[in-house]
Amino acid sequence: MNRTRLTLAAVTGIAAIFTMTGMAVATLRTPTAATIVTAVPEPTDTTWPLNLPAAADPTPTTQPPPGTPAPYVQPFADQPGTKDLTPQPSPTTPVKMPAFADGCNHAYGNRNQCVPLKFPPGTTDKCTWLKKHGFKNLTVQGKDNHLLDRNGNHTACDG
Amino acid sequence: MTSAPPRPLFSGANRVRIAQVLVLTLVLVVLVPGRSSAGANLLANGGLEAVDSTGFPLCWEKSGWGDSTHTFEVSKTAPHGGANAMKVTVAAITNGDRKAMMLENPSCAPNVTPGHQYDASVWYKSTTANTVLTIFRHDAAQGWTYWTDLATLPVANAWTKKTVRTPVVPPGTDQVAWGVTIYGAGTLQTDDYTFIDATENTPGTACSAGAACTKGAWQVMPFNSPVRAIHTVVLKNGDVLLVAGSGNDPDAFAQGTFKTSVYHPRTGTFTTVPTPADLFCSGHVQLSDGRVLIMGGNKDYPAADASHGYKGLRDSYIFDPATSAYTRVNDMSAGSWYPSATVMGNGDVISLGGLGEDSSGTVATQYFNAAQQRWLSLGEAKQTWNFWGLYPSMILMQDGRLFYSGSHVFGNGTPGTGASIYNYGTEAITPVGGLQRKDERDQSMSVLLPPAQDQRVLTIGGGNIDSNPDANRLTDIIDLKQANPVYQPGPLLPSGTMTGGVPQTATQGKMYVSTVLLPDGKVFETGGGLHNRADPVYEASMFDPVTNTFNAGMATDPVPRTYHSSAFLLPDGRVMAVGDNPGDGSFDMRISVYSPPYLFKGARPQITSLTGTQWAYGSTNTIKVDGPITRAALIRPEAVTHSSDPNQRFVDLPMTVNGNTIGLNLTSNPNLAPPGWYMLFALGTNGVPSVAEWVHVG
Ligand SMILES: [Cu+2]
Repeated sequence: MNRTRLTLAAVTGIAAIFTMTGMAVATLRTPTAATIVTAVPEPTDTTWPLNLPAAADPTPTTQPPPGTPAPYVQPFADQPGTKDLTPQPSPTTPVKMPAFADGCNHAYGNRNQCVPLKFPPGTTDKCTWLKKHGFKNLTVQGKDNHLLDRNGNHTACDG
Repeated sequence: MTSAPPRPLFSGANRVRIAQVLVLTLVLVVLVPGRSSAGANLLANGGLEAVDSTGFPLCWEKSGWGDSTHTFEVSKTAPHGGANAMKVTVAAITNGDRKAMMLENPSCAPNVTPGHQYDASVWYKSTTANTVLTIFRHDAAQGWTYWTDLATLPVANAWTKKTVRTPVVPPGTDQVAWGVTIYGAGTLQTDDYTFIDATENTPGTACSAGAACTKGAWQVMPFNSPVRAIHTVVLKNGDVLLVAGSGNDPDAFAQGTFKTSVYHPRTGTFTTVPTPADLFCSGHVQLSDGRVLIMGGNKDYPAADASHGYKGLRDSYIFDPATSAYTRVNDMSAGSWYPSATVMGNGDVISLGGLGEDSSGTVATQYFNAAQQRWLSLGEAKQTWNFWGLYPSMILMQDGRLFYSGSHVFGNGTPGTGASIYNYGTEAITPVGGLQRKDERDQSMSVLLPPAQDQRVLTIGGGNIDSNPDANRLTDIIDLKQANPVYQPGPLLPSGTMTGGVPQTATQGKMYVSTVLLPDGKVFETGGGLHNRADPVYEASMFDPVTNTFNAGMATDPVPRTYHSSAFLLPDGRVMAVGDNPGDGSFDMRISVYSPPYLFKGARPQITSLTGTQWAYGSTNTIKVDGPITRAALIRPEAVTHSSDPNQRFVDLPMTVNGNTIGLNLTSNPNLAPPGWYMLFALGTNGVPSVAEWVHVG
C-alpha cells in the first residue's frame, strides 16, 4: 500500500465510515454535473478525482469539538472492480442443514458418543477402528448405515 | 506521488541544497561533544528552512487523498525555530486527509536499521485533534508501504512537542518517511522535525532453564475443571468463566443440569454459578463494560432417527463478573446454535449464522444494541438473509466492516463457505479469494495478527467432520490493507506426532487448533486433532508475524486437545488450555498451563504506576516502568469456543518515552480497539513481558 494506492482506492469510495452513533454509512458521492460547485477557496492540491472533472463538495462534515479526535479510518480494502454478491431475498424456505450436523451418526451409541458419519481415510475395519478409539458396548438405535450390527442384536461389533 | 502540480524531485539545485543540509547535519553531529551518532537527527531539512524554486521546503511534499478544500503554505509568522514552519489548512473535508510528507526518495527519507527503534519528534500547533502522525517504510521487496499510525496530536494553541517511538523496524526495511496527517477541518502547523535512533541496549538473556528457554514448558494442574469447559471467557478481573451448559451430554440435558464455573487462577479455586439455560453451543463476547453477552445455546440434541437435528435457543443472558451471575436480556430474533459474536467499534454486537429453533440455518443478522441493552427485532436490524454457516469467524476491520475469514465449524459444501467482506451498513457482501480448500477449514482457527493496526489475518489448518479427511497443514494470510485483498498461502503448519509418538505424514495437519496472541507480539499455536473427534496431534509452534514463519518444536501440551478444547492467554502472560471431547463421549477435565520461553529469560518489567485506567481514543496515557521497554500493547481478553474467537486482538501502543515515564498513544479508531477492558502489557528489552494491568478503552 502506498499513498498513490490510497488515492486510487478513494476514487470508488470507502464502503463504510464509522460513526459513533451506530453503523450509519456514508457512501462517497459519485461526481456528477449536479454536484460540481465552485469551491472557495480553490483547492490548491486536488489529488481526487484524478483526471475526472473537479467535483469537490465544499460542505464540511460535522466535526467533533476540538480535543476529541474523530476516528482515523484508512481507505483500505476498497475492492475496486469487485462485484457485490447478489442479495438474498427474504427467505421463504429454510436453509436445510443435516440432522447430524456434528458429523456423528447418532443412530449409534448412547448419544454422548460420536460414531463418525464417515470413517477416516485408510480405515479398513470399522469395528477395529471403534475399539481402538474407546467405543465399548455400542448400541444401534437407528438405521445401521455402517453395517456394524451383523447379528441384529442392536449392539455393534459383537459378532 | 499524489501531489499536484507536479514538480521535479531531483533538480540539480535541489540536489545541491540537500547535500548541503546533509553535510551540515553531519558536521553538527561530529562537532557536538559527548553525543553518540545514535543521537543525531536523521532528517534532511527537518527545520524546513531550505526551500526549492517553488518556495516549498526541500525534501518535503504535499500529500494526501480524498475530497477537501485545503492549502499548504510555508508560514513565516512565528515559526518554532528559524524562519519557516509548515502550515496546512483544511477549510472543508468530505473524506481523506492531507499531510506534508518527507519525500520518499533515497536522498530525503531517513535510513534506518532493522531491529532499531527511533524517536520521531515534531513541534506543532493545531486547531483540530483530527491529526495523526503516520509513518511509511521502504521494504526491500515491496517498495514503499504504509507502516503504521503512531499518535494523535491533541489541539494545541502554542508550540508543542510530540515525540513518539517507532515500533522495532521490521527486517528488510532500509528507509522510512513520516509526516503529520490532518483529516478534519482546521489548521495544523509543524516545525523542527527530528528523527533519532533510540534503540535500547538489549541485555544478554541468561536462561538456565534448559529446553524451556526455547520451547517453553507445560504444567498440568493438580486439580480438574469442575465443568466441561467448552466455552471460556477471560474476565476483566482476571478470572476465567468456564461454561458447559449441558456440556455435550444429552443425559445432563435431559435432567436439566446446566453448569458454569468461574476459575480463579491466582488461588486455583472455582466458584459455581447457577446456569439458567443450556448455554452449550452459545456465542459470547465481552461488552464494553466487561460483562459478557451470551447468545443462543442448545434447545435440543438430534434424534437418533435423524428426524430432527440440533436446535438453537433464542435466549440471551449477560454474565456479570462483579456478581458472578447471569441476567436475562430479551430474546434474539432467531434461534442460535453455534452463532458468531463480534463486538463493533461502537460497542454493539453482531451475531451471524448458527442453527435455528427448527434445526435449519439461521439467516438473520442479529444485532445487539449496547446503549439499549437489547437485541433488535428482525425488522430493526439490517438484513441480507445470507447464511454464514456455524461459528463463522467474523473479524472487525478498521473501517467497521466484518471480514469473514472462512474459518467455521461443521458443514460440507454449505452455502456461504469461504471468505468475504460484509458491510452491515450497506448490506453488501463481497467475495474474497485465495482461501485454500475452503470446505476443509472446519475448526481451523483465524486470528487478527499483531498488531491490529497491520490488518492481517492468519487462518490455520482445519478439516471436515463430514467427509472426515486428514486435517490439513494449510495456512493462509491476508493483508486487509490492500485495495483488493486476497488470501496468500502461508507457511505449512509444522508437523507433530500422533498418539504413541508416531510422526505425522507430510500432508497431515490438524483441526481443533488454538491460536493465542502473546504479549511479545507472537502467536502461539497449540492443540488439535487429525479427524472428527479422534486422533489428537501433539504439536505446538510460535508464529512470528514479522517474518511470517513458524518457530516449530515448542513444548506440547501433554493432554490431548481435540474437539471442545480451547487455549487462551492469562493476564500473567501464561497460556491456559482446557477441554477434550473425543468420539467415545468422554471429556478430559484436566487443565494445563503453558509458560512461553519469555518467562525463563529474566526479570519481568514492572509497571509501577498507571495514571488512569480509563483511556479515551486518540489519547496518550502515562505509565511508569522500572526499566527500559521496547513495546507496549493492549490485548483483548479471549472469549473462545470451537477454535473461534474473532474478537481476539493485539493493539500496539506507540510510546512517547521520557526515561521510565512512558506515554502510551492509543489509536483514535475504535474499530482497531473496540471499547472494553484490555490487558496492558509492557515488553522489556529482554523480551520478557510484564504482568498485565487492566485498562478500559472507550
Ligand atoms: Cu461443539
